[in-house]
Amino acid sequence: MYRIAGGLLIVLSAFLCGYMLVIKEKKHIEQLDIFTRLIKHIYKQIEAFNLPLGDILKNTDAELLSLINEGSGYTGDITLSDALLVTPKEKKVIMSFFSGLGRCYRDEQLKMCKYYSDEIEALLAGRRKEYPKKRKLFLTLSLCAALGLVILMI
Amino acid sequence: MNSKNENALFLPIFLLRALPSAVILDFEQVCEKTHLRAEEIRLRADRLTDFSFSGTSILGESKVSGEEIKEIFYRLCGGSVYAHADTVRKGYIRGAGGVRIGVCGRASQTGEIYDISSLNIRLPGSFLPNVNELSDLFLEPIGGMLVLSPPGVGKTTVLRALAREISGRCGKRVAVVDTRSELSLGLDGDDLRIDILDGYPRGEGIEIAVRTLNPDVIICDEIGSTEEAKALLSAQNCGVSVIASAHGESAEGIVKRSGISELHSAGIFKNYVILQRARESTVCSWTITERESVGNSDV
Repeated sequence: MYRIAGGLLIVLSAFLCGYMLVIKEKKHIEQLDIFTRLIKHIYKQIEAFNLPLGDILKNTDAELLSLINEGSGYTGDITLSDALLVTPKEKKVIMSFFSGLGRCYRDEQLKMCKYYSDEIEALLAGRRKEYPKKRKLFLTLSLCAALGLVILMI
Repeated sequence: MNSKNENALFLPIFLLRALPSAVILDFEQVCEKTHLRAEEIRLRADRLTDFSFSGTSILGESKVSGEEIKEIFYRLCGGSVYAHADTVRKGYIRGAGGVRIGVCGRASQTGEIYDISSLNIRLPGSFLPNVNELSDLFLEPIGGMLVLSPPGVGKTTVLRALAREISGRCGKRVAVVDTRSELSLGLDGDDLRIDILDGYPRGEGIEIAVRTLNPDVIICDEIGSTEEAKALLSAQNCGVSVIASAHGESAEGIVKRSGISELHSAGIFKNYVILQRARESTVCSWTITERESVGNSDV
């Protein structure tokens, strides 16, 4: 009886672990999506209105700003939030964008926004393509590991 | 408050954020040595920082590299260089609080400026001089005034003071054509009858002011072109007095200049005010010359 209960607990824990990994991967994809949308938003604002970045960011949705520490009153310094789940390679691309943001004239700025938006979208597309496989992998692996442990115990 | 604190505090916050700490420290040290009001901070790539105090140029000990100048330029643009492209093409950017920053670098074929190599930060005057003697001339409609001096003596500051006095104490409607967003600094006050055309090209701003704002007096800075002369002539035809400034050392010299000579002949300016300032002095004085006294005037 206790063994069954223990076994069920192990399986449930494993399933939850696997599920957490799936959620983390989903959140990773959402974060990349937020960056893509932020860059496109900045692009549109500059293209249509040529607004300074401080004004653009002041009127941007909180969701799009949730991953950057822009601080009160834009001074040209943008740092990334500590809660980022992106890989070092993705972080490098994102930081390259922000370190160059606002440093060039309009045409170059728009081209830069387009370039990095496309780069991050490509990374996002890759992640989205892998997501179903990863989900299956995480859940299956965790369950198999749990079942294996349960069998060993029993 | 000692002069060190006064001068350090005199720097606007956006400059304190943009300039490297070495330059700010240098500025404070030079201010402490000279006990003078700073007017300009000149940064040149890989050269010593140059501070101007009441006509005197003093080299500091700090140096900024080419990369640092670009970073300072970026911060002075508020992190958005593209938003200042129009004024950068004309050689300057407008900072907060009436600070004008001259910019020079490498011009591209399309007119954009790259590789910024020099920045000249002009700090506005911290106080307005007493111009009652000049503004009293406008209590009755008398005609215009041209304020002359070499660069850096205080023409813009005097125009600002006149705008305030004439629209406030004298009760006249004043239109300020502030092409470079420098004139309107400090022109806040509930009792000022003042309209500010910020960033308008001079000639266009004068025409618009005359057509739509019905001013008693129009004030503008640094006139000299034929187009501006035409606009001023048309303002006179509508009975509007004009106060303007120009670079020059004497009334006799300036009335021979193209653009000004037509205005002088037409009697636009009843008075020529020549500003002077002693070296290392913060106060300017002036002499008023009536139009009739100027050589080659058509009376």
